[in-house]
This record gives sequence, C-alpha cells and structure tokens, in this order.
Amino acid sequence: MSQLESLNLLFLANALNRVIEDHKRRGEHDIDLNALDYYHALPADQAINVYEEPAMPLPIGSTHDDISELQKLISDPDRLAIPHDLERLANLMRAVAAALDAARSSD
Amino acid sequence: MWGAIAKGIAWLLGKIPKGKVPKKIPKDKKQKEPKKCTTGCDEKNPYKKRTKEQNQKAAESEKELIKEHQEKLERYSKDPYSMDNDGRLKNAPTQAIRDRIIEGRKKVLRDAVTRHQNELKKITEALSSQ
Repeated sequence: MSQLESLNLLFLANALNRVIEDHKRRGEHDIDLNALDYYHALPADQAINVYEEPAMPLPIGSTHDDISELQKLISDPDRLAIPHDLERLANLMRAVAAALDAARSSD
Repeated sequence: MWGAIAKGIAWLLGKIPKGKVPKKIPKDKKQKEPKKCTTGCDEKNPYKKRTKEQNQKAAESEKELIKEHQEKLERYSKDPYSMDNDGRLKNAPTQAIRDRIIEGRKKVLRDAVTRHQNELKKITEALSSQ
C-alpha cells in the first residue's frame, strides 16, 4: 500500500491473527499481567494530536479493568462495541508486548 | 497554458460539472465508488440501525455500567489502595508519583462514566424514534 487512504478493519484482524499464531507456535500462550496492571493511558484523541502536549497528569489505565470490560462486552450480545474498546485492546496488546519483552530479556 | 492549468486545478477540485470531465480516466486513477448503503446510512447514531428490543437491552446494560463505574470511582477515591492490584501504587518511589497515579486513575474512571453516559444518550435518542 503506497498511499494510505483507508484501513479495512479486516486487515487488523488478519495481522493480529498472524502475530498471535506466531507467538502461540513459540509456546507463548498465556501472558502473566499480574505485575502489569497500571499503565499510561493516553486517550486516542490526544495521542494523535502531535501539536499539543498531552494534558497532565497522564491518565492511568488498568489492564485488569480492560480485561474485565472486554469480558463484559463479549458476554453481552446486545451491547455495541465502541471505539474505546479498540483502545482497550490496543492497551492490552501493549502490556502483553511489554511482558513478553521483559520475559525475553530476562532469559 | 494558464487556462489549461486552471481547468486542471478546477477538475482536481471537482468544480467542473460532470459533463465537462474528460471521459477517459486511466484505470489506475479511477476512484472506487463507496459501497451503497440501504438503510440508516446518513445516521451517525449506530443505534438507529438496530431494533427497539436490542436498544432497550443495550440501555439497561449501559445503565448498569454507569452505576458500576460510578461505584468504582467512589471506591477508588475513598481508598485507592483497595485497587492496587500490582502493588505499584504502594511501592511508588515518592508521594508525588503516588498522587499522580491516583489522579490519573481517577481521570480514567471519570471518563468511563462519561463515555457510558454518552452511549446511553445515543441509545435513548434512537429509542425515542422507534
């Protein structure tokens, strides 16, 4: 894709599937997030506004909360997913990446 | 020459009526037509595309979530250590950092309440026309 015009969400699903399958093949099935609850949760609108410094103090998200809220969404077919659910997924993926990186550097 | 340039710019800006647009557009320049939508396409409120029953259930879920998040915010404000799952609040190197974490966490919990209130507003709006 030489010019980024739009991103089909299916691309995200495919890329995520590929990355997860690779990790699973390496035996990385479950990631321990117990020591990684809090993280800086820059809201999406502030993250993409590169002209302004984010407002302080930076919001602090919780991976425990993200998991719990996504579980509620999964189990409730009547609720509509909202853009913030994508942020929750992104935050969890970042925490997982941090945990995997930490595990590898300690090997 | 300038006339041609002006025409080119006007064409690029879509200011020339369709009839005057050159008929032959190179294949690679052709723009894909957006997929045609049949119902509720101009609506920014996604709940208007759903059934009344679905929205009624979603409204109940949102009310529940608002209540949960309000309670969580209240609980956290009273005792931030009760939700210190990884012990990083307790073990923060300084009180200033601890205060920053608490304020940052409250910000997120307040935003969650607002977000669910906004969803409930959209659902209520959709329900009012169903």
